[in-house]
Amino acid sequence: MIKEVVSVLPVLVVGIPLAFTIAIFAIGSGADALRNRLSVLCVALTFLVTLLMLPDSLKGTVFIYKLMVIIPGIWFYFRVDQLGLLYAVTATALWLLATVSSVGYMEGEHAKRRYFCFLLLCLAWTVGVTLAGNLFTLFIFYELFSISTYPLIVHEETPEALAAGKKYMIYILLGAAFVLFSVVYTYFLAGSMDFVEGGIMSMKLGKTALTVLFWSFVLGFGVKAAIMPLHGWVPDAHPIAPSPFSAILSGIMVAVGAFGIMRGMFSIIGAHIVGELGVGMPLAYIICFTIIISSIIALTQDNLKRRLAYSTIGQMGYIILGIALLTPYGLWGGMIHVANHAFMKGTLFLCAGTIIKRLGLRNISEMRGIAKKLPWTMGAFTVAALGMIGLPPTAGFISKWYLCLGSLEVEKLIFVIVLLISSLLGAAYFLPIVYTAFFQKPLEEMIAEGTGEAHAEEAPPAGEREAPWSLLAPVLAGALGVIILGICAEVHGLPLSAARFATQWFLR
Amino acid sequence: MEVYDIRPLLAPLISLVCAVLIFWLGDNTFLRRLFSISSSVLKWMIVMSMFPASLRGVVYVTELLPFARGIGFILRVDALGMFFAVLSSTLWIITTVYAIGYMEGEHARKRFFAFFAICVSTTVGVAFAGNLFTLFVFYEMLTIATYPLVIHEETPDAMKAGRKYLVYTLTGGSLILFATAMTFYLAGTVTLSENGILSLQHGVNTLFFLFVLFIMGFGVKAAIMPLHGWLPSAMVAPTPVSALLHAVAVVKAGVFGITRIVYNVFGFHLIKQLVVHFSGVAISAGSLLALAAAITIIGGSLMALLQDDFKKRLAYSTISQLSYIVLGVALLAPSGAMGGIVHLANQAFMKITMFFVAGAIAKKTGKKYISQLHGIGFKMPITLATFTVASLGMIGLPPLAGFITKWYICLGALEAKQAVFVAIMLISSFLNAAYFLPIVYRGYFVKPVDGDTAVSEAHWTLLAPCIICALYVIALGLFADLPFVPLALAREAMTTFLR
Repeated sequence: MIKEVVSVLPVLVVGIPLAFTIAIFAIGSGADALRNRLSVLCVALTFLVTLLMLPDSLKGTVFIYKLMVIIPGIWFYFRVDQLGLLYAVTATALWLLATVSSVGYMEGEHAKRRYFCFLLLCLAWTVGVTLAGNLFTLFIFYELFSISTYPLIVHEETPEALAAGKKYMIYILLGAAFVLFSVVYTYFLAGSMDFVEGGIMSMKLGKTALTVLFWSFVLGFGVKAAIMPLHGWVPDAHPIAPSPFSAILSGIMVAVGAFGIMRGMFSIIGAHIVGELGVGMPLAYIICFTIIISSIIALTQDNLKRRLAYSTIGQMGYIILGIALLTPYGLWGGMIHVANHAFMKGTLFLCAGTIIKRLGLRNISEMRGIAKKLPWTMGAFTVAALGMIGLPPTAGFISKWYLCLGSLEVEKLIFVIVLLISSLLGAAYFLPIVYTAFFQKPLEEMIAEGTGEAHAEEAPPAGEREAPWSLLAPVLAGALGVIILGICAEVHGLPLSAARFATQWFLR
Repeated sequence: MEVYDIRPLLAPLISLVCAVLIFWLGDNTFLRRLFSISSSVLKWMIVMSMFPASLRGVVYVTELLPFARGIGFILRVDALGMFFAVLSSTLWIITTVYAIGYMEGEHARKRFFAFFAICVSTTVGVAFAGNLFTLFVFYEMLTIATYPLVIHEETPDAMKAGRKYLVYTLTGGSLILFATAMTFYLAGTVTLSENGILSLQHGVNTLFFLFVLFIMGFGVKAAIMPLHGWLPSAMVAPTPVSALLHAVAVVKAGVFGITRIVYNVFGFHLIKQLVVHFSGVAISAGSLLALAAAITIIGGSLMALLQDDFKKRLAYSTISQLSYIVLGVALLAPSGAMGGIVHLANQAFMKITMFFVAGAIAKKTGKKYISQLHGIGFKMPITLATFTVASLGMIGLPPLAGFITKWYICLGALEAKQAVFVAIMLISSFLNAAYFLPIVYRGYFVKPVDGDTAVSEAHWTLLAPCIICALYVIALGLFADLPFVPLALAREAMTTFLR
């Protein structure tokens, strides 16, 4: 049964990064070492405090904390259910990897103070979204988070970065308009905006109104979740941001869009009503289109980070497809894919960052033989790429397995076929990267062989062999996570157990 | 509950006395500053002393000699009037500090500060007016007293703008006079009443004509398109004038007048029934006004996009934002009315912050065009930060002031079953982002042309008002629920009007 417990922990989870943001801003732009340590400490603390809530949550406890009234009658409050916690733990874990990686990646870059300030600020807003107790609180955090992302996306301040930032703002602000409409309309229809398992609407409100509300949720949050054709900002913004932040953008930020849709479907409208409206299937078909098309476009990209960005669009489709099926297995698959995708795509982007930082390479065609120089990094890349394709025993396989079961539950073979085609396409655009890195010889080596000069056999000096620990450790941890999430999926405390809890309440 | 009290008279009187003192002794810089600051603080205290009771529904009344038979000079402080008075007297203090810094070294400072005080005096008079006639008298006095401030620079441009201003507003004024006389003829009284003084027995067509007349009259100052022409031209005035008068006092007097007409002359129930049939099409008074507001909201925003002159962009934004209030009032729904009334304050604090910033930048660097503002965030980071807060508020980002407005007006539009106005509000927020964020972007992300990135903020008298107003923008959004905030007063006003 649901047991509500008043706890200050959710406030702490948001409060810690906020406090550290101020501290980092206050220490000025000089003290790099101190700033780096404070940032990592902050994210580690946030992660640990979030973890503290996990054991009780998996026994059915829901943590609540009512902070203050924002608009008369509407509370600003936190309510941590299993879905929210699943997201929060995933977010803080990935953030930890990305922050450690940022320390190495930002070495020698400009505007480090701004970068780290906004990195922590975004963490606060993101966990705020996931722990929000009503739609209103969620919306506040969602908006703050959308705006605070901008300085990180345009960090390089090149004309391309600024153009990508502009595009991002336009898309996100248009999406936010629909989100706001959903929020107002929800309040107008139900007189409340609290998240309740099973929803707060009733069919008496009229089929048209509820259908409008559903699509408004999808349209508003779909911009962030990169549902085609609302995805335009993703392929521009993801590659251009500093790589550690790209990992967060792709791993968590787009998934927060999917989170909004889940909240709308399950905690506001209610799974039963969505089922009665018959809007789940049309959404699933739109998503199939997204999955296939984005994978095909990914095939054509030579820029590694751009290819990863298109892959993200497709993978978000997995999550939304899962929840649109409205069956237990589908929901399990969709929800655990949030965590699985975060680790896989996070690792891939962090690897891409290492390649850029160490070798200055952005295009796949230039990456011949780089595994000789970065063996561990490319090893981790390979693990994550296999996960993306969905090979056992990696995390991606578990997601795919439950998504396929979910599709069979609704007796729609077409979704299974789409998932399998997507896997094949995934193999087609990920494996060539691995092949290029491990098995192709660098161009200069080939030229050297052709002319008979055989000096290329020499190994590079030891100092140049791998990336520094701050870049390597997060990548390895990420790859390890991908494997653990695959092998130990059934272990209590990992995403699947939280997803089961959430599903059980949402579909009751 | 009505209580006889002298304070409603004292409040406007005190700034009038201040003006007289400045005219008399104002050549001395110290005395001029002393009078300005002390009278603004004193007035604020008088107004605030009535605030708690007003929240509880107490109405203070002062009645003086009658102008004519049946028309007295009445000052009556209801919740809506209180709202406007608190707003303008609070902002007067802040603007006075700002003006002292800004007018440093300008000519004719005595005239400036004296007329400034008169303007505030008449604004509070408009707020407290208990009948249409008193309202009209103060309204016209405000028009005249603003003129010397608009033409302060005395350049040919300024004189031209002043002339345009007078032509527009005096024409509007005469329409109001006509409408007031007609109201007196129809209803036998011009005393504002909570639920209106007119009734359907006067004939729908007559009433509709009267309504349009009033709206056109007050619409000039409220800058409803196409009556807005004077406002962008009037931006030649010194920045404190643009800030307090052209973002708050003068323009809000127009909007305030419209609110009075809708709720206190016609009354909520009558306006709802006011529908004329024009060649087969039913036009209701409420939706006509809402439509005009919607056109202005979008039109003003589009025009703002085209402006390069910083203050002109702000002026067009004001035109657009004023119609939020008009729209909120015209929706004739509880939440809509609340949103409209509370936006009187929200828009004021946000826009005044922006004008203060524009003025501080112009004073410090001499830059008046947005295209010159490259890298201004490197030189004046705090100033631009306050501008950023105000911009995000205008866009309606929670939890800032503008969001509260947007929320209630959207809710009001749904209550009135006119979802199209939700769309208008959302489009407008997007346009707000489109014309404000590029300024922030240019300031923080584009390097200054001369490469000079040393921090040099404006003088504290210019900077402090920016910061205070920006903090207000945050507080008005974050603490909207506390008992002593505008929203509570707006709700009190709304509940009495919509009973």
